[in-house]
Amino acid sequence: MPKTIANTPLTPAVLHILLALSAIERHGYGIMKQVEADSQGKVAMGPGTLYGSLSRMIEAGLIRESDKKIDPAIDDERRIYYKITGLGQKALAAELERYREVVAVAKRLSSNTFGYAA
Amino acid sequence: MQHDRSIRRYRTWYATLVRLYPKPYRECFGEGMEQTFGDMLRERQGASRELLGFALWIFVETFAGIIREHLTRISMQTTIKRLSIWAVLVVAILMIPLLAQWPWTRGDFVFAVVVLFGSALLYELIARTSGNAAYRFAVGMAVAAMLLLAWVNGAVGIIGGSDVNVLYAGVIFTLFIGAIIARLKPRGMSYVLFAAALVQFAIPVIALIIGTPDFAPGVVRVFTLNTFWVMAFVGSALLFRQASAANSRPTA
Repeated sequence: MPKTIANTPLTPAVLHILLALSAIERHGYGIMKQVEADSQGKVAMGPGTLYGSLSRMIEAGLIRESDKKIDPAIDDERRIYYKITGLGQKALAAELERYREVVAVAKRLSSNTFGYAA
Repeated sequence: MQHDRSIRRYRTWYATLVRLYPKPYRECFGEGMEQTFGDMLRERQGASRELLGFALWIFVETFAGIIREHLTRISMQTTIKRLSIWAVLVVAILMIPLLAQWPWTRGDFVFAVVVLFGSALLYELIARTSGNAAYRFAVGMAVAAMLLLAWVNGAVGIIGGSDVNVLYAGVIFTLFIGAIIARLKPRGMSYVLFAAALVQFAIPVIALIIGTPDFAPGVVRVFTLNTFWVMAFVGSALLFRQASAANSRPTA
């Protein structure tokens, strides 16, 4: 199977974008704000990084363009919205499962080594 | 008011910068990027934070993205270009039997296309995993030797028309399985190529021991011909070893 971003451990940017799109579709700025909020400001992306990631995620089939519409909360410009695909949901679920397993191992190790649960 | 003018000016500059992206990328994302940049500036303006330093940071960040997208595109185009060149070469080679009206069947042509283009594809896929010249040359040498082995055996056979030629499939099998086990690492590949050379050398010896009746074109000529592949595999193995030594050499 070719190595794509869909079947390798996801980068923090891709993971956060998938999380931001997991519930509702969003435009570029909306994704950026949601990622910032979700990561408590730890993942800050400029448009170059954000749209570079979106481009690769579209290519990998993780997300797709949705409608072009106005976001009344911002202005009257029509914006392209992005939504997660079925493959994107699967990749996100697999990545979250991987994180759960890592956390379980870390908890077990820390309770064995230091005598307390992480 | 002053800030609104600044936002418009920065957005115009940003639009100019976005034009440096490759055209297909710009057509897909250019407008969205400009809007997002404008939204970010407005947000900062609303929070009464300074704009110039922020805009400059975004310009630098976007410029890095422009370089990244161009590099990605160049590497993709290079691969497509190289495979196209190989395809043209394969077609040119196949024109020879076609124009010379050799008695080739359709099956012969299919075999030739699969072996020639398959070898080219194999070389491109493996050689691109390393930038080391010795490694790439080693891969080229091994693939060319393998191609010639398949070709000569498919056409006439090294040991006359004998069934014992089937044993040469063992060389190709050794190479494929070995490459998978070695995961294409240069050190491992050098052992695989030495093993392939050994198998290659052993085949006419085995044929002699089991007393193959049709040993055309003569024992000495068979061994001489066979030595050509043995040398090619050993040469490739030595190049892989050189690539491995270069990899493990500490850099200053």
